Amino acid sequence: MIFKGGSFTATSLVSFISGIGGAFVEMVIFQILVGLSTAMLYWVVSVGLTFIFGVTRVLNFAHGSFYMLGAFFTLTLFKWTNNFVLSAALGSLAVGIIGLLCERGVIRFTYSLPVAFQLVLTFGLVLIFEDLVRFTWGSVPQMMQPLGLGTVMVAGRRFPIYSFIVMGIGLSLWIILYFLLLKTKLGLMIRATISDIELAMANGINPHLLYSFSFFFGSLLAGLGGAITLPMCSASLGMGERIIIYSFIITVMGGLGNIKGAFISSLIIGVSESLCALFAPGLTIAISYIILAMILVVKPEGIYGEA
Amino acid sequence: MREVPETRREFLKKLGIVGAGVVVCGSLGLTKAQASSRKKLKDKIKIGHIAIFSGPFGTYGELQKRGSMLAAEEINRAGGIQGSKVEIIYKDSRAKPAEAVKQARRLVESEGADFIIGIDSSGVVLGVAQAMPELKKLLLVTHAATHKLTEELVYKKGNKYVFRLSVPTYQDGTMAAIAAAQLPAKRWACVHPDYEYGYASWELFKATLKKLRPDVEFVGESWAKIGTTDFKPFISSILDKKPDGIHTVEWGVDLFTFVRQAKEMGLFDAVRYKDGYAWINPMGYSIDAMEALKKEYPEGCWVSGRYLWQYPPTELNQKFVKAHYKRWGHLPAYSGATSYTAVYLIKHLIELTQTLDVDTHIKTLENLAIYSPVGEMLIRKEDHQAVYDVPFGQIKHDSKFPIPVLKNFFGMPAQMYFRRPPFTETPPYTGYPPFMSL
Repeated sequence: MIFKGGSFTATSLVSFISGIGGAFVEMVIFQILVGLSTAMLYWVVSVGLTFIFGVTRVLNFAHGSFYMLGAFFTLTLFKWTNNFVLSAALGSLAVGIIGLLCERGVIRFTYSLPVAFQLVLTFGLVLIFEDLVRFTWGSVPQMMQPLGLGTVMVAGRRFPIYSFIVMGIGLSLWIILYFLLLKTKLGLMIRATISDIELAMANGINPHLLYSFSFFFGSLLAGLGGAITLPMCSASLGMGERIIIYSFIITVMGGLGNIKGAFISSLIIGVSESLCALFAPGLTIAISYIILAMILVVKPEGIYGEA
Repeated sequence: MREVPETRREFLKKLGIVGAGVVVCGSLGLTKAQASSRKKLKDKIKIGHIAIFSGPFGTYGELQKRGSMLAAEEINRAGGIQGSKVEIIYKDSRAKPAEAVKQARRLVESEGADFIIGIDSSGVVLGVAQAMPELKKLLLVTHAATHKLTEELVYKKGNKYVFRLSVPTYQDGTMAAIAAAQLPAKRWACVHPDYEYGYASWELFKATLKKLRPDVEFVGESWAKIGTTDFKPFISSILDKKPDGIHTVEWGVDLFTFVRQAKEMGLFDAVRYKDGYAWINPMGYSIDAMEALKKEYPEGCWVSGRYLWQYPPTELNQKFVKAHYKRWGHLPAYSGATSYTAVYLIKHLIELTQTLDVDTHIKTLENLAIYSPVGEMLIRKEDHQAVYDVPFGQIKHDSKFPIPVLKNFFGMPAQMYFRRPPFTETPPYTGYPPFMSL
C-alpha cells in the first residue's frame, strides 16, 4: 500500500517491508523520502559552491546571493512567459552569466592574494546584490502562483509530485557532472587543475578559462537552486543567507571541493533533519551542526577529504 | 460566544471608572493656536525607530515605518509638537539583539533621540530593554510579543523604562486557546518557529486550553528554524500524530511557505470541521501574509493579528485605515497601527506633561488610558503593558477587497485573558480585575 494510484515496480518490495514493521516503517520511509527531496535541493546549490572552490580555491560568499537572484529572475520571467521550465532555465543562465561577470570583473584580481581578500570581496558582493534586489523587487517577499502539479499517495501519505521533479533534477545533475568530469576533455582539464594547477599549466591548460567556466557553471547551479525552490516558497531578501550556511556545512563535511563528498553530505543532512523532525523535534535546528562536528572530529578533512 | 460590540462597550465602561489621564492617539489634540502658544521644548523631537529593515523579515520594518511616518507627517503638517517638528530616525536591527542594542545606543548617545520605538522579534526586545535603564530613555515597543518582557523585566526586575503598546503572547497563546476551545477539535498539534516566541506561545496555549477543555490532548509538536524553506518534514511528522487541530505562530515568509506546503500535503484537510478549519494562526492576518497568500490561505481558518484593520469599528480606526491606504496604497499592518499610536502617544505625553523628563513621562504613562485606532488601551502600571483586545476571525475570500477579510469575529475583553500580576494564575479569568490601584 505504498504507492496508491500508481503502478510502480517498487510496490511489492515496499509492501514487503511495511509488512514487517507496519505503520512505523511506512512513517519512516515517508520521512526519509521527504528528507531526500530536501537533500537534492541542498545538493544542487552546494555542489555549485564546491565546484567553484575545487577549481579556483575561492570560498564564494556571494553564492547565496546567486541563489536569491535565481529565484527573483525566475519569478519575473514566469510573470512574463507563464512557462516555469523556460523561466527557470533562462533565470539560471542569467545568474551563470552574472557569476561569470563577477569573476572576470573583480574576483580574478584576488586569486593571488591571501584568502581574507576573497572573503571580504565576496561578502561585499552579497551586500551589493542584496540592495540591488531590494531596489528592483522591493522588500516584500513574493510568491509565484502554485504550479498545481498535485500529489501522489506514498505510504498512505500525500507527497508533492513537484518534489519528485526536484529529486529528478538533483539526480540528473549528478549524472551530468559524472560525464562532464570523467568522460570529457573539459572534465580532464578541470580534474588536472584541481589536483595540481602548476603541472596542468605546464601541460598547456589555461587555468583562467577554467576559472571563468567554473564561476559560470557554479553560479548557474546556485541560480537553478533558487529557481527550483520558487514553487515551494517565496522569493525574499536574505534567502541566500540561509542556504549559504547549509552549503558551507555540506561543502566542509564532504571535503572542500569534493563533489562526491558534497552529494553524500547533502543526503546526510537532508535525511537526518527530516528524521529529526519526526523523532526529536526540538533538535531539528541543531542536528546539521552536531553531525558536522562529529564528522570533523573523526575526519577533520571531511568525508572524502579535500579535493 | 460573546459579541464583540458588547465587549467593547464593557471595556469603555471599565475605562470610565479609571479616572486617570485619557489621551486620543490619532487626533491632534491641541488646536494649532493652542499649540503655538505653548513653550517649544526643543527644536526637533527625535524619535528613534528600530525595526528589521533587511533580510527575509525586512518587510516588517517597512510595515512599521508606514505607521510611524504617517503619524509624523500628520503631526508636522499640523504644526508639530508644540511647535517642535517630529523627526523619526529609522535604524535596522537586522533581527539581531546585539545590533539593535548598538543602534539604540547610537540613537541616544550620538543622534540625540528622545524616545525609542519599534522592535520586532522577542529575542531582540529583551536585549534592547535591558539597555534602556542605562540610556535613560523611554522604549515604546510596537511589535515584539514575548510576555517575558513585561512580566519579568518590567514587573519582576523593575525595568521602568519599557512600555509595550502591542499585544503580548497572550494573544498568540492564551486568546488562541480560548478560540480553540470553541472548536470541536480534541487532538492539538503545533508547528512553531524554534525560538522564544514559539515556545512561549505554545506553553500559554496548552495551559489555557487544558483549563477550558480538560478533554483535549496535545499530540505533537514541530519546531522549524526561522527561514525554513522546506516544511515537508515537519508537516509529515505532524500528520503522523493524527491531529484534528493545529496551532501555529509561524509568521512572515515562513508562514507563506508553511501554508503553501501544508495545503499541498493535506494538513488543512486533516483539521477540517463542518464550519471551517481547526487551524489557529494568531499572526495569520498579518498584512504581508494576506498580500502574499491571498486566496491561497483557505477560507474558514481562524486567524488574528496584534490589530486588525476591520476592528475596532470606530471612526478613529476608519480614519486611520483610510489615511494609511491613501498614503501607502496598502491596508495597515498591526505593527503599523501600533507605531502610529506610539508617535501620537509621544506627542500627547509631551503636551500633557510639558517636559521631556523621562521620570515624569513614566509616571504619566502608568495607568494611562489611550484611545487609539487599535482600540481603547489601558497601560497597566504593574507591567507597563497596554491592555487591549484583538479578536480572532475566520478568513473569507472577498473580491471587493484587495486581500481576504475576516468574518465571525470571536473575542473577549482583554482583562479576561491578559495574564495579571503576579502572573501565576492561568487565564481566562472570571470577572473583571481590580487592577486599577489608584
